[in-house]
Amino acid sequence: MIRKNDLSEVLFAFVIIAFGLFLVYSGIDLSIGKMSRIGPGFLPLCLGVVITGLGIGILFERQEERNFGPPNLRGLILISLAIGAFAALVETTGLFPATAALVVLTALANNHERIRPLTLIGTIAGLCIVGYLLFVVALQLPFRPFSPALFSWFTGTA
Amino acid sequence: MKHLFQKFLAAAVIASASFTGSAAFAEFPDRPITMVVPFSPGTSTDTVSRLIAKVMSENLGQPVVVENRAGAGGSVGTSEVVKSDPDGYMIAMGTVGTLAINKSIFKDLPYDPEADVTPISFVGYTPTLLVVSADSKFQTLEDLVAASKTGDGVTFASTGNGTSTHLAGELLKVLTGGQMIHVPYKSGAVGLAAVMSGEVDFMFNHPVSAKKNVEAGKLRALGVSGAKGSVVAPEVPPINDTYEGFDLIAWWLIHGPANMPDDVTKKLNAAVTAAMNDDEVRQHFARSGITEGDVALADLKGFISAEVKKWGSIADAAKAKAD
Amino acid sequence: MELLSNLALGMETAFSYDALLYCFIGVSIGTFVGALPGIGPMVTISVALPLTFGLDPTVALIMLAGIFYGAQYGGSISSILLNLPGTASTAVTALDGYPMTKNGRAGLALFINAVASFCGSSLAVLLVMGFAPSIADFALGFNSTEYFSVMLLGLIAACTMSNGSTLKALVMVAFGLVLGIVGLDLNSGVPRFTFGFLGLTEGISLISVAMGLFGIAEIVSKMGESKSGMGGPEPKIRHVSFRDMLPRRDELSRLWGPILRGTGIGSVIGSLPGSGPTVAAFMAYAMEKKVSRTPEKFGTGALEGVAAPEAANNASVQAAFIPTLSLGIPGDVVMAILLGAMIMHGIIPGPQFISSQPAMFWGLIVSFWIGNVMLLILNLPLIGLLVKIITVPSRILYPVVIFFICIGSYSVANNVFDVFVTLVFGLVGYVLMRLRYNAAPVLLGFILGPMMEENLRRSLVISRGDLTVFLDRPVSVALLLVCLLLLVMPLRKQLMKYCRSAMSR
Repeated sequence: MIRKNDLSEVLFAFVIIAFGLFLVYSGIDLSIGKMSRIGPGFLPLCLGVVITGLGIGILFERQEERNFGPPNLRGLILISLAIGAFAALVETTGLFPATAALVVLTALANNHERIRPLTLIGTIAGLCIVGYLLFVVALQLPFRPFSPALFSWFTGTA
Repeated sequence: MKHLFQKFLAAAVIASASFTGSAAFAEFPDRPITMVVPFSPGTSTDTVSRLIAKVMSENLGQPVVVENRAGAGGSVGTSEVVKSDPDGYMIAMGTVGTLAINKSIFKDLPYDPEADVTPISFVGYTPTLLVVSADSKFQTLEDLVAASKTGDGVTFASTGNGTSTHLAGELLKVLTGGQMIHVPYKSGAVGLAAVMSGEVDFMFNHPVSAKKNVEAGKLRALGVSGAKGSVVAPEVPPINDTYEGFDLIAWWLIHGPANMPDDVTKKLNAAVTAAMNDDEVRQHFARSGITEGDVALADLKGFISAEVKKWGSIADAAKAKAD
Repeated sequence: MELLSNLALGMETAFSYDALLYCFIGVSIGTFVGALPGIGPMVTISVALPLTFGLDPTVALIMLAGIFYGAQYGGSISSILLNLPGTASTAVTALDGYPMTKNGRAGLALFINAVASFCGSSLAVLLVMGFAPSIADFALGFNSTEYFSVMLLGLIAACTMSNGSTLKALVMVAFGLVLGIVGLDLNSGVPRFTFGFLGLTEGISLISVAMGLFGIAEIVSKMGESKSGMGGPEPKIRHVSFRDMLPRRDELSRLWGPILRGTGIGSVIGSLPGSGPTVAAFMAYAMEKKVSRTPEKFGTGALEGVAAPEAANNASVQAAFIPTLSLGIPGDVVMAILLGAMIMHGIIPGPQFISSQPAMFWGLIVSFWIGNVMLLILNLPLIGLLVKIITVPSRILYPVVIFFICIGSYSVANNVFDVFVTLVFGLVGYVLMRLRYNAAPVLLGFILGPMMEENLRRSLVISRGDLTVFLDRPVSVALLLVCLLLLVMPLRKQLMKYCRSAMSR
């Protein structure tokens, strides 16, 4: 008996079963070995069998009522963009541009609390300074505030 | 606090210097040099690099900043340096692993240690000790080899498949023809503990930590992996004396990407050489059982090629392919 | 009496002006850095290491060790307040610490954290003092068969950890085990599930998994909740007076058991090389839930769920010094760095370390005590201030937290790839959260899985494929019996219920 609310649960149970079958396949592919030298595929195979079984179990399990609202797709996408942008920018353009991108995108994601431009700039500036002093100067992470490549790109000398 | 402020100032000056773009005409080095250590902090490679970088900084008048980029047996950090501009500002601490063994272990190694590297200076080398538990019935290397030819054979610990400690055991197996079963451990220290407790029969281990435990009566050393013996344990005979053709050492070598200008290479080489003559570095080497480098700059390429070949043939014999 | 003279020697060293000063600097830096999400003691110690070259070796070690155990105190702060594990070992603390914050009891949670940490460490230090050599021998006696059995026990205990659907909890444990497989296989050198990424060859970083599954998922879901107005209660924020921080009398009496049990588990696990504080914390939590009369309260803000793992992870950090100092065998990466530091200072730990360098060994041990007292004094007054972090408006707090998550996951190996991995786990975590899969068992499976597989395979290689090897050694047999008991007990309960209902019919 499937309630309307449970469609995503059912779909996810199928995802779990598919994942389990994938593990079984890769386990066999990686070689199972023999008792005196168990191969790299032994554990994936076992786990695949277990996960497939559990997935089938969940398919038939009665689910509890859920009481939350619709998924926060906007937040999910914008936070992903924020983290992705930081990761892509921090070594190519430097810590400061990456931080700015991260703060702006996170602020956009958070649409129930509007952020004023001044607060935004303040947060960016604060994080840049703290980030530089704490992580670059004190903890010596290999960041530059602005990467030299960025300058040469601006001045066109590269 | 004052120190921090000075660093901040220095960084600001550097940032503005790179802004003006006058870098190309100044004499090398006019900005900090990055020395990539392709292993985690605290490893022996890391400690050696930090000590040398410290003296190099004093010598070059520019900071040599150590950066740890661990991953994939050192391949991650090494390939990063190899792909960088060959201007001498990005150099790496290479090891027997990154510049020799990895080539025959990783199928898709993103660099070629012979073609993609400019060697800068040899740093030093150390052999390993073959140790067994002090309670072990093996008194000599011959006892061990004899036991490997009977019944179930013997077991040896290593720091993982395709590492130098694994391949050393495989070479012994090839040379003696006995049955030696490989048991990999996460780290040398945990493997050593397994040897002490008698879970595994023997292991090739770094001479200093092994020697301490030999002195304390927990381990017994049966041989040295290098044909020249070990400075830490001169009383232990080289394995090569009994089984000829056994000559394995772990070594360190500073290098940059291919095609570095000669004058930059020479300048860096001089700075490393000066570091090797520093008292603190010498003391550390002596304590850690590292023998200073005796390979000249001109011979380094040949040295790397020879090592690649040597480890490659052991790896082939052991079928230790990682893929 | 020998112990007393040793203690006197240690005090002489540890109460010197320099030692006190650097101990204080170490623990302060440690707490502070530990409190930053994802920035662990490893980065800090490796940066501080070259700065200690000029110092006396004993003083240098006192400071570096202070950073390490100080970070354990600080790591729980962001776990409790923001559901963001500051260090991997405090991920467990978030399970009940964060619900306490949601219930408006953040002050109490932080108080319990500080006190349990203090008790755990100090008691473990006593153990180190009294029994270091015999504990070292005990640890050496642990073979791969015993390791396998301990790990199996932990895993079975973990399955009882979460509330709600057992099937879902089991799937999560299995998922964690799969994540632990990723990387080069130790035995064969074959890459498993790396999909050609070089960044995955040494496995997924624990920090990425923990911060993605917990931190990012939590923030995304919070942003959604407030908008739709259908979410759970916002953290209640009020002025935290000293009285709010203190447990009620009945609560206080409930804390001693968990703290003592946690310390015991932490000390044993910590002294085994290769296990570490994270495993200790998880096991203590699982154990507490097993012995509790109200296991259903775990996960909703149970005091015991904060006290036990905190006592355990701090105890295990102190106990981990035993194999490092007395055998030269570091239990984890941070211990390996400390060992490296000792070697750089010209001291090589080993079996003779205690007898050849008594002033240094006992000075270090006494400094642990002093450091823990300092940490307690440092942390208690800060609680009132720290609780204010949750009053920071989300428009400022969220970007700051995301920023720390990014840098934290980067700092593990100085690699942007790990930041992307964290992001992927954030997405997975959000989906799991929406579908009511509790992510906590993933972490335990992730940590225990590789060790279990490694030791199973090792045991069988050494025994040449003979499975009875697990029944040859008494400790292993005992542990396996406990596993069996844990599995059978719930079944027996079910069976009795069934029989009773059948009889009454």
